[in-house]
This record gives sequence, C-alpha cells and structure tokens, in this order.
Amino acid sequence: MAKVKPARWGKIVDLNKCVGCHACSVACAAENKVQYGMHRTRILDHENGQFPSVYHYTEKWSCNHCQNAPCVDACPTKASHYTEWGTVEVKPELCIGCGYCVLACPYRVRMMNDRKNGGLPEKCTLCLHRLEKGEKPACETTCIAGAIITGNLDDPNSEINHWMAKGAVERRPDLETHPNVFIIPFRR
Amino acid sequence: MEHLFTWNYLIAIYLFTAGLSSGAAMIAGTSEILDNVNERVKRVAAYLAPFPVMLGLLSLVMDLHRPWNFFQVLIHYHVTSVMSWGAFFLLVFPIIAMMFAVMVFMNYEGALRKVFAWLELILGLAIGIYAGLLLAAIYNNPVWSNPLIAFLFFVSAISTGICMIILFGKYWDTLENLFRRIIPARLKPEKWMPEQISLTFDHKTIRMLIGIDAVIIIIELMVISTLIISYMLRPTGDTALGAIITSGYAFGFWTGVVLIGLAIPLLLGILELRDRLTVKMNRIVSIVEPLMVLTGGFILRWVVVYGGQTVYPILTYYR
Repeated sequence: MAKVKPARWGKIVDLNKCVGCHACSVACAAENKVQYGMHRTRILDHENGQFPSVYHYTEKWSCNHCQNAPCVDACPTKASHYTEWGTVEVKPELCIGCGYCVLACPYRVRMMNDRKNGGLPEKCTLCLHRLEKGEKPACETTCIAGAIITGNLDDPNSEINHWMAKGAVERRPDLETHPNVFIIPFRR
Repeated sequence: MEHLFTWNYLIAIYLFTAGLSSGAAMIAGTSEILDNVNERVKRVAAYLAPFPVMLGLLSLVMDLHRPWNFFQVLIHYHVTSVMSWGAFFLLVFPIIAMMFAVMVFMNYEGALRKVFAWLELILGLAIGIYAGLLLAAIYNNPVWSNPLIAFLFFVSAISTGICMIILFGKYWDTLENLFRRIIPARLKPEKWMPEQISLTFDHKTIRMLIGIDAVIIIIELMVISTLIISYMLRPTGDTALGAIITSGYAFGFWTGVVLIGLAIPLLLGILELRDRLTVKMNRIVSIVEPLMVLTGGFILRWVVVYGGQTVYPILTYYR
C-alpha cells in the first residue's frame, strides 16, 4: 500500500470466493456512516442455468470507478469528477443534488441522500481516506472469504495485477465505461 | 421504495410548464417574424410566454436535494452535460421572453424587436427540445433513451401551448381589466401604459387555433405509434413497453394521454370545425377541448417521468 499519486487504483472481486455474507455491505455502512436504508455496496444474487443443472452465486455490487464515467459526463456542475487516484468522487461544494448522476449511472450504484442528511449522492469512494493512510478499504479488511483486493493497477508488481492475470473482466464491457473495478467471473 | 424514484412529480410539473412556455414563445416569435398573422394571437402568446416556465423553475429548485447550492449550476458549465445546456437556456429564456412581452406591450417598433422575436423563437425551440432531451440523454434507460421521446415532448409542447393561448385568449379582456385594477393609481398607469386593443379571441380565431391543434394532435398520435414501434424493435423493448404501454403506468398512458389528451379533443375539434355542434355546444367545446389537451399533456410527462424510473437497467453483465 504505497502512497503513489497519480495512480490508477482499482479493485477486483473474485466471484468464486464470494460467499454472499453481506459483511462488506455492513462494514462499508459502518465505516462511511451511510444513511439507514441505503448501501454503497450491495450483494446481488444470480440464479442461472436450466433445470436440473441450476446454480447460484453472489456478487458484490458497488461503484466501478469508470474511466469514462456516464455520471461525470452527466453532472452539470462538474461536481462528479475523476480524482488523481483514478476514482470518481463528488465535490460537496459544487453538488446541487439534482439526481441526474443517479439516473445516468448504468450500474445503478448511486442513491440520493435525504435533504436532512446533506442531499449528496451516496457512492463508493474506494475508501480513499483509508487508502491515504496506507490502510485497506473497509470491505476488503472485513471480507471473510478474501474475495476482494484493492491496489494500484499501474504498478506491475502489485498483488492486484497477479489477480488480473487470473482472468479478471470488466462489468458490462458493451457500455465502454472502462471501469477500474473488475470481477473474476463465476465458474461452475 | 422512495429511493427508487429519484425524480418526482415536480419534474413532471417542470416538463409541462416548460412545454407551455416553449409553445407560446414559438407561436409569438413565428407570428412576429411572419408579420401578417393574427395580431391577437401574437400578443396573447407573447404576454403568456415567460410565466409558466418561472413556475417550472421554482419546482426544479424545490426538487433539488441541495437547493441552497442551486446557483452553482448557473456559474459552472459542463459541455457534455445536457442539464448544463438546459440551465443556460432556462437562465436566458425568461429574461428574453419578458423583454419581448414588454416590447409588444409598449408597442416598441425598433430594429431590436425583430432580433428579440428571433431570439424568442430560437430559445422557445431550445427549451422545448431540452425538456425531452434531458430524459433522452440517459442512455441506459430503456424508456427514456429514445429520440422520439424528445420529439413527442416537443410536439406536445406546441399543442399544449396553443391550448393555453385559447383558454387565456377567451377571457383576455377580463383578465387585463383585473390586472389594470391591481396597479395603484398613484403610479399613474395611464401615463406610461398604452391603451390596448381588445384581445379577447373571436370565434374565428378560436376555430383557427383549434384547427391547428387538431393537426398537431394527429402528428402527436403518429409520433406515439412510432415510439411504440421503436420500443418493439429494441432489445430492451419489452422492459420499456412493460413500464408504460402494456403494464405499469399503462392505465395513465392509454386513458390519460391517448383518450383524454388526444382522441377526444381531436374528435371534438373535428366536430367543431365541420359545424356539427350547436352554438351552445361550441362554447363549451372551446373550453373543454383545450382543458383536456392540457390534462393529457401533464399526464404524459407524469407517466414518462415515473414510468421511466420503474425500469432498472440490466444489472448483470452477462446472460
């Protein structure tokens, strides 16, 4: 966890290891004090296959920190912006709370806070406040299966790039958003 | 469930009022540029144009989750954001429309009047298209990401704009006398306020406007059928049709938009134009028909805004 800026920080979720315990969801809400009833990271249930050979797996679903982000393009005030860590964040002083980024996100990972809670769009920040201190994100520290890894994608020797070689893919490559968050697809 | 709807009825009110303003502004601008068009329609349209969108702007600011920060959208612009373009047009339009209305009211006959008529027409076009484009620019939404939505809203804007002009034009002199009575006598309105010709529409003008509206309603019906076909041709079409056409908000769409907003007004309009109605019925129809079109126009925005948000984009990345 070296402090390197600018960099392209990313995350990989291994769906073969993910057990769907929702611990990342809860740890994220506790770390970032997310409003009750909302989540920056969710668990999706996938039920695939034809009877009798059906299978089920879970997937951690949160902001993908796209390099070509629809939410950044849609924001009228440039409040949604790319940070020098390669992530996507919202500047509170510019945000007017119009909700356009929430609707523009093709992954549906943003949610609007209530007005009394600030009215900002709630989204994953890749726990930048922890990364800057050299710590791992809350979801990664709490994951019981070790299915999450965060690291610098630009550094060829980082552990995340060893995971990349295991066959990590983008979510919805047809959208051409080029996310920094990858998954290792579920194999039966 | 409340987090499902990021945008609520306030956005529907904004889209509707922006359409009213845009329709009135386009009629005012066009009739000023073309010169020998009905003077009464031109004046009533020019006077009405700036006001509905002001109500819409109020509802837009009320809808924001950080309303105290709203001025940021007026000082920071982002080229790739449709909303940023719209904020610019909505900042300029009420000012230009207000100045044009004052010019028409004061019988100002300078070179600037033509310039403002053109500006009014262009800005009316801009906010009329922007209302639908705001939704159409969200490319991951199966209901909204259709250029025909923008076109449908634009045609509906002209139609509802005409109906607003009919309703106000019918009682214009009464309204104007009320307005003149509000102004306190010590301001001496007779000194600076020019005497106006009577602007209440006669039966011929209302007939002409209802005739134009009937043509636009036919175009709107064609656009709606094209929209449905365009949904069917897309891979995400089933979701989109399910949200507003076949289930979900289908009742509002078919009853509110198609029946109350388009089919019955078209029928009434044709009956009136072909003189199949008695004089008394004519008087009722010329009030009821525009009211129905306005109701239908509002329900159209309501259905599209809410129906579009019930559709979640596909969350999985493969099969």
